[in-house]
This record gives sequence, C-alpha cells and structure tokens, in this order.
Amino acid sequence: MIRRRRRPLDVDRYREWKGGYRSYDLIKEFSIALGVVLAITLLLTVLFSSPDAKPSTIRQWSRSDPVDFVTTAVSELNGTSGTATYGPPYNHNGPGQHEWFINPQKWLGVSHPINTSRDYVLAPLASITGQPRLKSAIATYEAASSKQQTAWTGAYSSALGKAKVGPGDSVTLSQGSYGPVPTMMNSLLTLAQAGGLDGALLTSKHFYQTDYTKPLLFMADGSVLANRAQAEHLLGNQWGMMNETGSYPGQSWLWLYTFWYQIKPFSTSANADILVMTIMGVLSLAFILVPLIPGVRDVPRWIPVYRLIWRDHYRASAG
Amino acid sequence: MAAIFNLNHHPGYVHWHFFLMSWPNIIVIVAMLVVFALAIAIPFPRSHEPTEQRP
Amino acid sequence: MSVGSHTPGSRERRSWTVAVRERAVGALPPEKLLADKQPSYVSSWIYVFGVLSIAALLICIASGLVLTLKGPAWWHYTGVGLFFNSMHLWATELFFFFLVIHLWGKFWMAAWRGGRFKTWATGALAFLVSIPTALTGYVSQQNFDAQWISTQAKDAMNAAGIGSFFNLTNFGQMYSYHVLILPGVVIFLVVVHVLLVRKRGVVPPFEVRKTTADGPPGPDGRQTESGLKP
Repeated sequence: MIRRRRRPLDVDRYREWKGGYRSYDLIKEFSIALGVVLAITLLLTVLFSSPDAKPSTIRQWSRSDPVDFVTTAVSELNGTSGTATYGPPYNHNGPGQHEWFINPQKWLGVSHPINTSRDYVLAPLASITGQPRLKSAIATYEAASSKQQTAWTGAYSSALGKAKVGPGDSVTLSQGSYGPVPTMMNSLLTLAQAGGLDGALLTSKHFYQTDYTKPLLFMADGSVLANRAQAEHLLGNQWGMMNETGSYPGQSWLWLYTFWYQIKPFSTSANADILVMTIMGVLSLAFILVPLIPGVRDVPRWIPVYRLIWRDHYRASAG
Repeated sequence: MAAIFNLNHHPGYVHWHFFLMSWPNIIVIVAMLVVFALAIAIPFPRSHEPTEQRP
Repeated sequence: MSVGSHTPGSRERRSWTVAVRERAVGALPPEKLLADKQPSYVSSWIYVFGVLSIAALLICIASGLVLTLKGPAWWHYTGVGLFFNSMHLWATELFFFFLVIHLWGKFWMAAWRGGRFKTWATGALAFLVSIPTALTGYVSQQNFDAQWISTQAKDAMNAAGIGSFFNLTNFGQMYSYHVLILPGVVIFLVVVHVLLVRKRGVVPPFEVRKTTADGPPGPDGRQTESGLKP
C-alpha cells in the first residue's frame, strides 16, 4: 500500500551525512583558487584596464554651454529647478515620493538644507568684491517683492529660449524687462567660467570639505551630466543602472533593479523610486527567506538539476 | 599603463521593444549561464581511493 | 584550581573564557574547522565557486588596500594607480560572476536543507550587502561615473528615506562606507557563512526513494529504487 507520507521537514533527514568520505585538501584548494582568480584578474587588467571618464566641472559647463548654465542658474534663483522643488532632504518645497500613506522621504525630514536662490546665486555673487554695479543689482533684487522677482526671472527664462552665445562664451538675448537679473547672471557666469563657483559651492561653510552635494545637485539640475550620460547609455530609461562608460561591462547584477524602470507603471510614475525600492526590498527579503517559502523552496525538487550535480553519487549508490 | 584593447568607445547594443542591453553586459550574463552549465556538466576528476566511513 | 574544572562547587565561578572556548571548540573542533575529508558526493565543479568567490573578494580587498594607501585621487594620475584600480574593478566583476554561479548551484541543490537555513541566509545577506558595497565604490571614483551615479541613485535613497543619513553625493561619507564599514560587514557575513559550512557540512544529496510505508530511509542516502521522486 502506498500511503502518502507527510512531507518531512528535511531537517533531520539531511542534517548529517553518514555515508562515505574521501580525502580532500582544503588549503591546497583555496591556494589554487586564489592563484587562478589572481591570474584571471591580472589578464583582464592587462587586456582591458579600467574606465576613467573625467568629471565635469561647473567651469567646463559654463564655458561649453553658457546658455544651459544661465538657464539653470535662473531656475535656482526663482526656485523652479529640480533641487529647489525636490523636497526633503534638501527643503520643504516638494511633497517627496510616496506610495499610499507611506512617505519616508518626508518623515526623515530636511537633513541637508539647500536654499537654491541663496546657495547657488546670491551667496556666491555676494562674495565678489569691487563691483558696485553688481552689489546694487543684488540689493535691488532682494528688496523687490516676490511677485516682481518672479516677473523678472520669468521673462528672463523665456528669453533664454532664444538666447545666443556671444563673444567670450557670454550669453546674448533680446531686450526685455528683466530688472537686475542680467547683471547678476552675467557676473555669475563670469565667476563660473573662471572656476570660482566650483570652489565656492564646495567650501562655502568649511575650508576642509568632502561633501560635493551642492555642486553636484547644481550640475544635475542642468543638462551637462545628462547629455554625457545619454551618450553613454547611462540614463534610467536606457537600463543605465547596469551600464558603464565606454565598452566596459557594467553592473549586470543590477538587472532586476533597473528592469522595473523600463516598464509601466514605473516608467511614467513620479513615485517610481519608492515603488521600485519597495519591490526590491520585498524580493530581497524573499531571497533570504527562500527556504521558508513553500513552492519556491520546492523548485529544486520539481526541476531535478540536482540529478546532474550528484550523478556520480546516484550512480555509485545504484551500483 | 595602457590597455592592450581600448574599451573607451561606445559598445553595440541589443534593442528589442523595451529591452536594451550592451553587448559587454550580454556577454557577461551569457558567460555566467555557460559556465554554470559547464560546471555541472563537465565530469569532476575523482580519485580512485576507496571511500571511508565518517572520520 | 585547574583550568576548566567543573566541580559542582566551582560552577558559579566558571570562567567566561573557558565557557567560550568550550562552546567554540565543541561547535568547531579543529578536525572539522580544517577538515581533510569531505563527503563522497562532493564531486562536481559547481562546488568550487564558493572558494572562487572568496578568492575574488580577497583580491578586491588587497587591491583596495593599495588604493587606500595612496589616497583616492592617486589612480587618476599614475599608471601604477590605474593598474591597481583595474585589478580592483575586475576582481569585483569576477566576485559577482562567481558568486551568482555559486548561488545558482546552491539553489538547485536546495542547500538550505538539513538545518542549513542560516548558511543560506548569511550567504544571501552577503550578496545583498555586496551590492551597496559596490555602489559606494562607484560613487567614490571621483570621475564622471561617480558624478552621474551619485546624482541619480540619490533619488532612490531619498525616496526610501535613507538619503538623510546615507548621502551618496557626500564623497567623504561614501569613501568611509566603502573602505571600512561595508567591507567589514561583508567580511563578517562571509566568515560566519564559511564557519556554518564547516559546522553543518555540505548539504547531502536529495534521497531518491518511493513514498511508501516501507520505513525510514537508510542513513547513507542509498537509493532504494531507481528513477523515483524524492
């Protein structure tokens, strides 16, 4: 009679091997493995080296694309840039990403405060001395009402859409009612093209500094990094998370992370990051808990790859 | 110390609907699958010493 | 009083050192820790991918150590620095390559059986912690790659709420995580994982037997009938 046995927990059944043993040299195996991997690593190093695409700087950006630089600077001044409207951890000007009522970005608060108009425009301009016209322009801007400031910067932004690059990488645009904004932007552009803004954004508070958040967010608000990234297929919608600059293999182990960003609803959602992080968090937990998940833990039994792995053992046992 | 092969150029890509992957990454993933299959398929050299019971 | 005495009267004054030593040696006697015998069923190339992963990790650490000796900017300006950076990168690629194959092998062997859940769990955790370890390395490169990855991945960190204390655009913080904190966690997990493998042994093969009322399976895993389900 065949009685269906209750599935054993596998704990006692497979806890201890009571069968035969063979000699084995653990240290020798490790030494051989180390030698083999070292040889492969050396070979790959000699054949391919490693990528090192030089970083962009604000100085380079302001010289190669002054219109984009000034467009970004104005958006920082009038609080419409990506960083200005980001929300926590930089400011309270955006809701942050959320799924249903879960909003960890907001819950963790503003830990790296950035006031874009002050930090990216007004403070660097205030550090420039010996320029009374600039000082007057800044004073005029700061004294104006927010409605007036918005009108000036809005008109200037619209005109930038048809701006041209003038002599000395300056920005030329049509006449309009921009108030003190052109004077401020031209001075900021000059400061950036001289390399002063890179340093000012990094060391604004301390001499020694290793936090590149401010200059990086400023550049990320513009097109300089994204243009380079698109050329290298590093954008989010290009499976960029997996890729590397040049023809180097990238991070193939991130395939599932980047996959979600390619399909709806994630590819069109403003909350894509928190949704994907949640999915990957759940899957990571499931990965750790595979032995406890019915069905998943039975797959190796149902698809008997083990018969190939242990074919010598099964043959010896049958013989 | 220059590399023998310069990989500082754009790679080719496989693009099919939303699937877009560089050839270097495809090669690495395919190599993983191939090496896994070979690791299981290739016989492991066994010594002919008799097995002994638990040491 | 002799070391390790267990007279009833001395139980309250039992040495912590002795207790820890006896527990450790009990769990992992030297002949188990550095065994020179392995079960006869360990007879496949798939079994070498664990040690290959460890070897790649060690080369990654060693090349990383050289990079830290000369500081984070060194490799941009010298051929020797670029050489060690390349060793570090390819060792990382090989680490993940071998680790994934090791993981596939262990899955298809259902290597968690026989009370080996912790072995599986520590291995899975080591893989998962390796991913941010690599990420912090990529954002510590101080080149365009680092600029792009940090400004993009920061959105995922911020959305999950951890951006407030794990700032990818803060080079100093990320370098510390990459050089010390996360490799420390990975190494700890790998050590625990390997000690668990030494303690519990490599998982035995599935027993292939008929599900009948014939009695419990034989202790040596012998196949009682051929071609049947486990």
